[in-house]
Amino acid sequence: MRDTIFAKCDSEFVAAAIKKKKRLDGRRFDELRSIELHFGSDFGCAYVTLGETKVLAQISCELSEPRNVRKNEGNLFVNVEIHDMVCGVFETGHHAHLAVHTNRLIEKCIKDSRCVDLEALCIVSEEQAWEIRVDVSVLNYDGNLVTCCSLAALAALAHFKTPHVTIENSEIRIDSIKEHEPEPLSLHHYPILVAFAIFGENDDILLDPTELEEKVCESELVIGMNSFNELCGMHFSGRTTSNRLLIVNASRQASLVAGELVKLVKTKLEIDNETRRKNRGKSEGLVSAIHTDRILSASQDRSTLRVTQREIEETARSFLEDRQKMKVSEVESDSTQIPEPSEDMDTEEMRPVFRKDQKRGVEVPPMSSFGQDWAPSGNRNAWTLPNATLSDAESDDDEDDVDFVKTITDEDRIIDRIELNDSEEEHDTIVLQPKELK
Amino acid sequence: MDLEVESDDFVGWTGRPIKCEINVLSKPEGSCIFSQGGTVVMAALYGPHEIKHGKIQTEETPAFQMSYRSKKGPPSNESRSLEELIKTACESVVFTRTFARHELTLVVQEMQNCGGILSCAINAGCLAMINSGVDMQHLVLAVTACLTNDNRIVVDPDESQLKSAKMSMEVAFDSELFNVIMVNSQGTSSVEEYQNTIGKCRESARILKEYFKSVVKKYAEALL
Amino acid sequence: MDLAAEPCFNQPEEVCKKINPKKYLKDHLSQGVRPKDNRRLFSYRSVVGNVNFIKNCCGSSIVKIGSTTVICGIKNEVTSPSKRFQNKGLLDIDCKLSDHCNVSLNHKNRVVLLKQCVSLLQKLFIGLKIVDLESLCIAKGELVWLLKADIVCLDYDGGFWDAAVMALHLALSSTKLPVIEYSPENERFVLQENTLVDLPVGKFPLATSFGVFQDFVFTDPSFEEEQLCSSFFVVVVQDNAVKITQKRGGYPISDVKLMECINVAASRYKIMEDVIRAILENR
Repeated sequence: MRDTIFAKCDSEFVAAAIKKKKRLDGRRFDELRSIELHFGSDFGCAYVTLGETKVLAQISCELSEPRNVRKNEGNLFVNVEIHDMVCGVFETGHHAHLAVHTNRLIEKCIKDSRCVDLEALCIVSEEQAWEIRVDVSVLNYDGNLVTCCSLAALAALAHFKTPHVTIENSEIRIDSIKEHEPEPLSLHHYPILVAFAIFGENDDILLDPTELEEKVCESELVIGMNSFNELCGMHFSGRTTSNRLLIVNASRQASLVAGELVKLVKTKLEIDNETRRKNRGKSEGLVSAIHTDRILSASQDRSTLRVTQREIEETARSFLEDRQKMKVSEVESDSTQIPEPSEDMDTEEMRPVFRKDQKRGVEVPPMSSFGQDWAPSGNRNAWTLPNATLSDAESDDDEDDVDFVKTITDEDRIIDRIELNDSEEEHDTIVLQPKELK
Repeated sequence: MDLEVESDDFVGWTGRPIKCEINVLSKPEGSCIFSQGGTVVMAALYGPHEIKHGKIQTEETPAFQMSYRSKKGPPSNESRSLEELIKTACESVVFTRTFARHELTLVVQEMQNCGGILSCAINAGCLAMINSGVDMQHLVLAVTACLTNDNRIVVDPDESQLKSAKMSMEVAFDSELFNVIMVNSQGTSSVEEYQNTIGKCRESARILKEYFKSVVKKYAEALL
Repeated sequence: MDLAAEPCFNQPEEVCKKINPKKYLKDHLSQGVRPKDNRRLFSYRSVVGNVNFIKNCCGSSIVKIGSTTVICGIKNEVTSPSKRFQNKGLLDIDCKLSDHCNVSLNHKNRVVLLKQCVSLLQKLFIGLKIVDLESLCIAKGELVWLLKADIVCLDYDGGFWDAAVMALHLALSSTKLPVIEYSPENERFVLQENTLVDLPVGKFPLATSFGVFQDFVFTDPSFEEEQLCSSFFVVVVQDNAVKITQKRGGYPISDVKLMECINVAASRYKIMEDVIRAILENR
């Protein structure tokens, strides 16, 4: 039920768009979604959002006896928790599979690559050692869970500090944070998992796939990289591919991405340290993750189809050119479809077509004010540009002009209807407010 | 858009600063991240969705699931107890009967605990329900208060104040008559002190209601 | 034959109860009477208690409230303390319903709530220091007592929490622990089985459950009433002080009702304290 079901035409559309080197959200193939990283006020707490995928990681520690096999090492335990509701439930086994899969990959990335110095966790050999526990909870899922989780886990580990321990006459005492400055974990390197989706024939590699892209893609590739460009984990699944350069290319991309992400973790850590130094060891932590200056569902971010600034400019220009062409042709051909008078167009040019949002890319204002060429589609608040990726290709053909005029009229009606709906909604809310709020 | 503007509707709040963002997650029907001082929780309401097979809906089993997730480790007895209190408090305000064979699921994730997590979680749950548009009888407003050793009542105390307090309580009120939906107190107090503390909490709940209103107003144009 | 097959026709009260139990209860409550045992709204069932009847435990008790029967046994063990609290002993509390209770899972999850009950007992006995864990310390950092308190409900007829609090307190008060001393000659700890000392336990906490049914609030609900109640309110008082209150969601109650409940609970404390004292002296 949580699991979004994608129609076949949806997936075909995605594949077709990718063949034309376009992604639905307007990203380049090697582009990450926007990342936010926040540290909590407790040590070892990190909240990471990667587009709509959101996870929270928390590190905790406990004194315990080391394992018999390795008596002078501490222990690291990774647990990825995905609530039933966050991912699909009805697809039997899928949810459990996803959790186990992610858990294993994170374990591979952090534990098996020996990024945490386990020997440094030992306090008294064969008697006492720290057991570090990494709890990653997934809050929202929209593809690329592994990068998000590994980034959160790594950032949390880098942020974590174990309390100081004093040993007096073979008696171990844990000092509280007030008594003694806690000690950070020693990390050998900073590994990050980078996920790719690979699409069929042309071996298109897409960095940071969304849920839809993950579902549609033919195979997925996860590469663990650290900041020294060392490979520390790889996972490949799906249909086989013959191109061996693909993996080399992907790992080259991964090393760039990993470098960037590690840099992000380090700068954020420094900022956090700085604020703690200023405020005597305290920080407001995750309170800063609450943005009161945005309303998400109305923004571009939530729409399934997103267009970049460049594309909007291009399509706007092409539409304008088309219309000028059309005008000329219509005078000659005596068409029944009468285009909008030019006054409208002047006002359009005066008005900014889009505005750049403070946080997240380009925001297109509701289309009703923008002229008749674009029709809003999708959910109420997710204004999108239909056929945005296809219009470029089609506008070249002269014959399509006629079709195009027809589509304008169709969409015209849609616009009218939606405008009506809109005003009704507003009206509704105004009426309901006093009742509901009392 | 700025929350600071809301101080007009929101005067008299003596507790820690409140901050909230609605509709932060894309998957659930309603979600919010809510903070009181340093305590941050995220609540998400899913549903109404079909009841998992094997479960039979009867008159007694309400169609409301709730899970409270602490950020570290497996759930302890303490967090189970919290879960039950949050569940019953939030459950009592929704009409679950309107959807036959369907249920609602509320997931509350602790993100940062600096005291007063219970009231914070209930408030977040309420905002998530508002966001999702589920039918509600009224709002539920929760306030934490404590009685210090010199018999002062502190509303919405922070962690250190809670630790040194001789009595602490979390109360949830309805937004109509301000009757008590849920109360959970521990510590020593006389009967009069107890009554006074509840009174103080009720005053704060009234202010909190104003805050909820302002939040809804802020988001109403875009979301509701 | 007719009489045997359809007894309902002769007892209109039974018909009401079967067809609309909520209205049946409501009609009674609005007259200020409870349906089954003709109690008034704020009256209690009889309470019976006894201690030290399990020979293998260092402390035990049995409590009967109405026909709800709860036993509590305490076992003692010696362990090493946790690293964080080196001078504190351990008290492990566990609650169980025996199979004889015949309580449906649904009722168990909604009303009895064993985990929440344990959480309340921990808060009360450990958090509010009715048992001082430091008194369970034998040698700091090396040896402490671990007390395992098992509370088992043998027969269920509502009001489990009240009975559990009382049973645990009685069991702890009756607990006698052997003395362990360090003997320098042998360089080890020696258990002296014959010298037993009482465990210091704080004053008796009185827990009172209230059922909330629509606008009515009444004390000490029985099983049948519990099934109809939408919410419960538990008050723990000690002397004149309110220790713990807990009302789980459900139907909201007004301030006046809330304070009435607390006053009702507090006014019963003196009598119950005497009862507890009598039970403990009787051992």
